[in-house]
Amino acid sequence: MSTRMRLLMLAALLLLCAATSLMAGAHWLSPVDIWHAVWMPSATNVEDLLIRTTRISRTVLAITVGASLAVAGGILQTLTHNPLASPGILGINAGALFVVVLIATFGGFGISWSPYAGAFLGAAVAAAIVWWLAMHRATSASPLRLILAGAALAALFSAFTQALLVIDQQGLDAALFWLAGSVSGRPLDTAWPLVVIAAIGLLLSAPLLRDLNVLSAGDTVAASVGVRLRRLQALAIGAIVLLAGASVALAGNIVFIGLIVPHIARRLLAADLRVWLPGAALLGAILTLGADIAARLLIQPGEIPIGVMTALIGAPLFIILVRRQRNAHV
Amino acid sequence: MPILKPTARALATCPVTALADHVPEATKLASPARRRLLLGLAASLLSPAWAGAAHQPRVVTLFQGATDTAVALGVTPVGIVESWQDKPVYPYLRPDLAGVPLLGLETQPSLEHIVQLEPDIIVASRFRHARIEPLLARIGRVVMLEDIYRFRETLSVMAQVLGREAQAEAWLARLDARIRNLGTRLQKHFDDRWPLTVSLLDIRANEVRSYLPPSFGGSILAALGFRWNAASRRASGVSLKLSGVESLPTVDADVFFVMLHSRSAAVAAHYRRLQAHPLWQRMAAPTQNRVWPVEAVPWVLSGGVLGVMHMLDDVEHWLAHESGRA
Amino acid sequence: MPMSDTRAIRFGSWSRQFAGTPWRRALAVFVLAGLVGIMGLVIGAVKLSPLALLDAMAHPDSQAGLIALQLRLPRLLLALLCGGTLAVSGWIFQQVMRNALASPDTLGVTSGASAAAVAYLSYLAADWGTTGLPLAAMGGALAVIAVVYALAWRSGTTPLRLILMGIGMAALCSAITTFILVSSPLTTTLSAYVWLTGSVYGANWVEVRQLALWCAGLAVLLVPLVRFALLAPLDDALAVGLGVRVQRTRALLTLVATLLAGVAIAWGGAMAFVGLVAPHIARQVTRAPGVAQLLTSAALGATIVMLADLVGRTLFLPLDLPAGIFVAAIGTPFFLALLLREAR
Repeated sequence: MSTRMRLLMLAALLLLCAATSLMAGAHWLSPVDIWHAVWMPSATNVEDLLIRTTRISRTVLAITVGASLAVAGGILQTLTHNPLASPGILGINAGALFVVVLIATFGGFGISWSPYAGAFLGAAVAAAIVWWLAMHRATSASPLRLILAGAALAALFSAFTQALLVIDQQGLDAALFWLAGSVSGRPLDTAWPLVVIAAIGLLLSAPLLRDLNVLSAGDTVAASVGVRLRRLQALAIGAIVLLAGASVALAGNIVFIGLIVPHIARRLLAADLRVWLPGAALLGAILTLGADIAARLLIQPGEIPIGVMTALIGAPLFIILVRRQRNAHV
Repeated sequence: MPILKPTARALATCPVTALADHVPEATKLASPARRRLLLGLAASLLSPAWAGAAHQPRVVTLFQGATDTAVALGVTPVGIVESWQDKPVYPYLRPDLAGVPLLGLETQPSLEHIVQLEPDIIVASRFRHARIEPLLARIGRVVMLEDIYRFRETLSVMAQVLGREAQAEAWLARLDARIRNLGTRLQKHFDDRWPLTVSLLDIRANEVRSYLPPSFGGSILAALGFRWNAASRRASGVSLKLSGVESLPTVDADVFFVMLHSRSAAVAAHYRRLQAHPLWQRMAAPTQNRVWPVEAVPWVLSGGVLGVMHMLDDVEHWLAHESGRA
Repeated sequence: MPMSDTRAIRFGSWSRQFAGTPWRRALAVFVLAGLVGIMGLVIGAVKLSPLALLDAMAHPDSQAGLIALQLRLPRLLLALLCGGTLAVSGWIFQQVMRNALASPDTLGVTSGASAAAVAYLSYLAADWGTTGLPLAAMGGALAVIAVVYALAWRSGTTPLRLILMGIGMAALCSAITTFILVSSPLTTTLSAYVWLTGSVYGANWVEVRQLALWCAGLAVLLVPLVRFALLAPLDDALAVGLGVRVQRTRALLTLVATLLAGVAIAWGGAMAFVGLVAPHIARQVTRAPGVAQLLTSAALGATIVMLADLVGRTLFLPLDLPAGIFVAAIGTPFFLALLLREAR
């Protein structure tokens, strides 16, 4: 099967998942209901209301977050030449999360969107530190050191988050929502600016694909064929901040998507970044949607937090990937 | 936080010690400490050392319900722990507790501060303080309550230890009379519509909780005669957690008592979103205009008899409002 | 290392050579740990001058005696034991896995113990009391390392595969922990959360004695294994050539390291990061791998946790905050600075 075919199939699978996501829940709805709700909504019909007020927004959110995290992870892995790099492992998510909880603890300064702005601030600060470390001679020489530094940063940020939660215990429960991740209860009419920002992040990374692809052959190779490294890195980091910040602001802590999806995409599609990175976006969206559907069906009437669900799906995939490695050193 | 926990009761009920001593507050202590405790208890039984005497016992209260109860019994503690909301002290207790030193968080009060206060009695809860029990026993006489939300037990045990049984009985009599009276008035007012179904809702930043009859606030509503809807009656535990508007119908009821979990903008925004949602507007209480705002402090966070009195005030205000409508 | 830097100690036919500098540096770290320990006894809600401290020791029934002997000393010792044990565990892991990333945290030991402990607190503590908590935590730690080992096994294990599996399992376990936290009643959540941060608050002598016994037992177990831990960084083939049964010693050392981390977590909560940072700093302090480095690592771990607890209980008086919060806050800056300085 050609890679183009596979990409198309992924896209079809995503559409299928999206349709399922609109139907699935405590009330199963038929495709007819969905058609009705989308094209000729009535203000009194409960099914229409359900679809329009909750199902559509959580579907859009899951797709946005999944695609953003997968792309952010893919770019990070290419940029740092490190297969373990991802917004989670390098502490970018933890940074965003810390600022969100920090702002939520102080009551959001009376502004309901301030935690979202905080997510970007936190992601940017963490990314700046990671970037500075990655560019530093000592750490750029060794991928392991970058991961170590990232792990240290993540531990630092989560310690700060814990400190806030222990002092303000009333806030613990609001914060658990962020820590566990969720795409429910964020209606699109308030969350749309974040979706737009994530989309901008995705669009911003599109023109970088060619240079990033060259970069995956190595920094020196890239430089020798005329890639302006600094500029590329700056733009890519900018895109990552937008993507990771928007994801955390939208859905809190969702793990593993950024780490494993690029690996699966590379295996499934091609070694060419111009093919696998868009594929990773589709795959990330599919996995996150699938996780969300499972999350709302498994323990009714409750819901499993989606971040927990992605870990439950992602960890076994990760383990399989590691076990499949034919590389003798692994 | 939260004064409710279904399973907490047994958290540290060690069967051996429970058999060994039939004193209510007897706990797992190192033997010298236990001897001292028993001696102390015997002494207090023989001659209520501080009942009526000029010397008031120095009491330290380590959970919110104990602080509330101490104030109710007319004893000002010499040290208290920080409140969960409206820090550092709940507003309804502030006039009585002005200047009382704070000992830090309810989950881990500063032991060194407690030592300096040289307390006679330390009121703690086994649910929160099981780990520090042996240390507390070295500082003063420890009164361990099983739970933090069983206000009747907290009241009677503390009254016994402080030699203020009469006040406690007066409180309980007053409370029961108020509940009976208010229950009859509710029944009279709503007549054949009584018992109404009720939901005690806690609006949080990202979810809604509905407290069930075993909870602190729910128990008072249940005592007044309110009922919960069929879906809630089937649920176990102290609260139902609703994730997303889709599950709102599980808490549909004739009356909503609604509290905001915190004073943050996110919670207020969530409540506004809910109120604007068609599914909320279709439920019984909103359509009949029976959504009554209450404060979280008395309803979930207080844990003492004074808090309960405030709850009854709230229900009375609501009933007055209802009568005014009719 | 140059020969001039070594000392020999002889007792009859028994002799040992010690490298001078590492031991001198280790001694400096021990002195540092001692100073932090004394600070921990002196500083608090009540300041006790060293003289007052001595007086307090002599009069255990006085108020100062109560504070020093019943509140501060057990707490300090528990912090010391937890920190030291975690650091030793991390040091063994880093030696065995030949990887600076290896630690009880990255191998899933901490997360496994946490998941088990939080499950215990949420579902079983109501009926069984909290006495079973240490056992649950250790059980969780052992179960996870067993799974990691099984998953990484493909006619033998390699260190890197173990670490990758550990990262996977760690994430899985923390997802389970989060789920339990989210779904259990809030009051349990709170106690579980404090436990997860790692805290030596409310330590008493009984706990200190139990933990000390475990540590002593494991130390005895460790002594004959130390030389294998020192050989572990060698290439597998080379080690086999030296007569080391690689897979067996690796498994044994992993087991001991897991147990060490398990007991520390069982009594001190999920104090993350000590096991990663302390051995790393120790390697900077005493460059040559050896017993001196192991002991330095233990002393550093103890120092970090003692210092974190001191800060936690005094910085925001009267709030008494879990030590775990400050472990990362103290460790990270050092750690990052070291990472950056290393390559110069």
